[in-house]
Amino acid sequence: MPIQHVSAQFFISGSVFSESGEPLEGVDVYLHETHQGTATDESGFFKLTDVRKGHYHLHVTFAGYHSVSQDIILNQNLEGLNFQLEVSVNELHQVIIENSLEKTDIRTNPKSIVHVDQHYLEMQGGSSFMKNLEVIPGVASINNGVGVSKPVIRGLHGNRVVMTINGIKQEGQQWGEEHGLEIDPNNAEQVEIIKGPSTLMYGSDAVAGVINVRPTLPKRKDEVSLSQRVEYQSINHALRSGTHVALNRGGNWFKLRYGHLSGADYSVPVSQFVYQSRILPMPRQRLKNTALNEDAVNVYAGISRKWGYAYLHGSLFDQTSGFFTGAFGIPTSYDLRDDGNIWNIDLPYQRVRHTRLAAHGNFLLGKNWLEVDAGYQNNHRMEVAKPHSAAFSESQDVSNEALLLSLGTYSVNARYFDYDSSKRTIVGMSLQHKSNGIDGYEFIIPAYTNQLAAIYALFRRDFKKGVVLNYGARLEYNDLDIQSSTTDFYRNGIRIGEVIRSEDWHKQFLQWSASIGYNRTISDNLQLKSHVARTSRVVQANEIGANGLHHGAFRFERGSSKLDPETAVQSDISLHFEHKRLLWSISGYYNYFQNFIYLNPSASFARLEVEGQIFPYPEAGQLFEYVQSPAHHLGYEFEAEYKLTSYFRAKVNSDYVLVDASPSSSHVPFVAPFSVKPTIEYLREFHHKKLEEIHIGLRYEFYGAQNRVPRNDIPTEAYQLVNGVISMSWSNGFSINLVGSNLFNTAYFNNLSRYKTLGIPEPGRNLSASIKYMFGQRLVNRK
Amino acid sequence: MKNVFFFSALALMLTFSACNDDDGVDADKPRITSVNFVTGVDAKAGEVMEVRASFTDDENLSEAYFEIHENFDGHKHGKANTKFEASEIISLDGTQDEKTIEFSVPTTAAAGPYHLEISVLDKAGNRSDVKVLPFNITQDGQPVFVNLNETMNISSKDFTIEFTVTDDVDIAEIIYELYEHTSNGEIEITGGDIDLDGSDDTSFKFNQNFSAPEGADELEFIVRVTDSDGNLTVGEVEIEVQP
Repeated sequence: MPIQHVSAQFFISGSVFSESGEPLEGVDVYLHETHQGTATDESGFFKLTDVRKGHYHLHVTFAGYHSVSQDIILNQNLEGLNFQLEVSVNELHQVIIENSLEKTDIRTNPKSIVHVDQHYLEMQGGSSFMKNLEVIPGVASINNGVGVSKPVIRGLHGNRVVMTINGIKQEGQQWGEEHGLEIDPNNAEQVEIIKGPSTLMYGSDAVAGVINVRPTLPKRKDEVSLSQRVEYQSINHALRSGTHVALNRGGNWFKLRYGHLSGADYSVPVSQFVYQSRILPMPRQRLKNTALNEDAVNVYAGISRKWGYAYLHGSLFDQTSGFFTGAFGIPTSYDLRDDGNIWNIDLPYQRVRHTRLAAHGNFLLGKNWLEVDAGYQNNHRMEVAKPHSAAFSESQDVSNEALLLSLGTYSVNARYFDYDSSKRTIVGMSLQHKSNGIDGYEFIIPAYTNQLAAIYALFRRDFKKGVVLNYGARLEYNDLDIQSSTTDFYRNGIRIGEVIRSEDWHKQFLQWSASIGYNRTISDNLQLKSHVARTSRVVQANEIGANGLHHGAFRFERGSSKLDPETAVQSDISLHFEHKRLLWSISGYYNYFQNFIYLNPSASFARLEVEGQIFPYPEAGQLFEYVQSPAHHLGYEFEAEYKLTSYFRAKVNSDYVLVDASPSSSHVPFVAPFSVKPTIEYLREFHHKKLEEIHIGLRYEFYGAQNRVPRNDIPTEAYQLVNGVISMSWSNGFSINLVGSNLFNTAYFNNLSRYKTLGIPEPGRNLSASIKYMFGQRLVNRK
Repeated sequence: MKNVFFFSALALMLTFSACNDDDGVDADKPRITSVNFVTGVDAKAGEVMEVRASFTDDENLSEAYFEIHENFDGHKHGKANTKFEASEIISLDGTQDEKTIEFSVPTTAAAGPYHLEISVLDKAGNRSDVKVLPFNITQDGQPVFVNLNETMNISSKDFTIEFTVTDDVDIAEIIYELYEHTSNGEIEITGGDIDLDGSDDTSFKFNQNFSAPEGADELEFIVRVTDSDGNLTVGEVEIEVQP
């Protein structure tokens, strides 16, 4: 019997040119599956060696140009693979154009997907990661002051939006409205937003959409890169720094990111506010005690070889942010008195620590690929407040630890990719074990465990005439076990008795979801996408077992053990056009939820039962109960860009969404109003010059009134904002970025802000200035 | 082909925006029509305080919420007496209802300013605005002001406020604030905190010089005196600036 040799090794080589035939130097060329990469030399030439037989996606990306992704079935050496890169009209479409989990290009994917890179995010100059994404139609954020924000996609948020980091779902009390995403904006190097249902691969809760965050891994062999960025925000005198080091030696690589933020109390364009017809002071025009501190470390170490890649990722995110002293209980002028220090974080405050350790790998099996990740993450969220201070319960507890939620999540995901030129199959499985622990004298949700097991399959068939059909299904099993819990109840310093906050509850769910997508390339310029999905979201522990005050939303929330999984039929259709100077896309969607779960304001005040006796909850507001009813969810997104001259571009974005639960016609909170945002931009690139790029932009934003607010909520009026940006980058690695947001210091109310109920407008003018230095890319390929 | 899709998308958009607002849904808030401190706005510790309130709604009232909490401005003093707190949820019926609530003020309730807060819900879940009404709890042993005039006329920028405060126990703290009344509300000009904790003063003579800001017509001086029992007395002086 002949000895089976290690499979043969091949190389892939070629050149990259501009449309005018000029060779392009420094273009990134890499294989998606193995992370093996290189850069083109002065003559535009590249060569990737040490590649095995198999099926690959070769990516060619260069800032300012359309990226190219090519399917390669490699059986022998591949030479003379030449690419001509087209200058891109739209900055959003420049870099990676591949959907990271499905690995199909965004253009032929049936869903609306937007990809942005770090350069784009840095140019927004927002105060948080989500704030930087808000300009994308269909995307909004719920902000708790500045620096703390949660994603909203197509009007839905919380348990209906999934964020993944390197493919692993972030588990961090998504339902909560007072803390933000546990993510360092510096670490968001590649961000992909999938609008619409994506439950098949991402889980039954990816009903509204997904935000995939990915680092740029050091793919070029024998490369060292360093970068340092410092940013200042005038709104809260925040200083954010980001340090990045990456090293790749012979396919063994390491990457470190460290980010730090410290900010003071933020300013608003008013010196007083009116709450319940009382005038309250706003000393120094700042929200007292909204200072924050944040540290984030991300470490990656891995290897890229001909068989694929494997790496470890460890991260720590630690944020401490003060709660505005007027936002807890009824605000009093005493609580709002100037404490003489805008930098201190006093009681009440919150601290969120998110730690994560995960292993990721992609392995070549025959010609197919198996992608595996396994990890553990812990989300430790604490609210610190004096017992019986505004709206916190009385307690004999001396530790001031009001609430502690410690959510630990183990997860394992595997995806097997089998592709062919016209047929692709992805089969996958997910296992997840979640365990939520509670502590403190007041907690809104119970302790629980949740085990999840899921399998899914996705198929893609390419037909003639540019027709692509995608279809698939997922089966998900969940076991949710809620534990009983009690707290002590005090009145006037005397213990009255014990309150049962949650009871034992244990249930299993088996749900399915399925989708079918039709994609057609009508012409070279026009793409039609349509997608229909049946989704079934598992009921979450907070929806079943909440029984307490949700400080972030100013409401006492009570779960219901009678809720069923939330099923919906979701459909969307979109058209994308791109030709030379003009680019536009329009998407419309309509979703029908059979039994939408939402918080309904009840006819009762918040109360607790203490050994048979009813006591109002301290500073009892209205009791909100989780209920279920049919709901309609519809909206559109529109985006257009026109290149006026070589350097001037005009853009316009617009979106609208409506979410209504019937039959009581309840509107859902935190839904952004209609918006339209025209932008004019001057963008000029200079090749082989010291000043490489200059970008000047001016954006006008119009937001309509939002009258579709839940019962007792306050409608918001229409408002207009003007933002501007100037950014420049030089060939020596320096770049600067100046952004002015809300340039006219307009006082306005945002339906997505919890402060509107207090009569406090949104942050005023913010000037952000950043400087970044990148080093290293020029050291490679000089052999 | 292109146009067909474009116009169907446009039609879809128009349908969205044509969706009408709710019809026949009760969205009207219930209201608190009157609140009456039957036993007066000064409630004596150890006695029963009676409050009568009437409510109305266009369809059906559900519940009213009454809460008493202190308005001492956060300072903590005193061992003998504690700040009084009470709350009550009362069921209501019909489109109009009136309720009389009794609160037993304990003998150990700290004297001082308090708030009575009332709100009401209807059966549909509509919530009224919160009504906040000030009242006082009094104790025999609370600080007493001597020679503190409620109004004062000044003709020059600089002026002096002088008074004496006496008590049966030690005086713990004196907090004072001077405000200017402007068309935009009250602006704090100055303030101070005299900490007498641990001393044995049962009488204190206050004498401070102040100056009115340019163009001010009306000023207000507020002083809060707390004793070691935890009782608080608030004094106020309205100051008219005469040019």
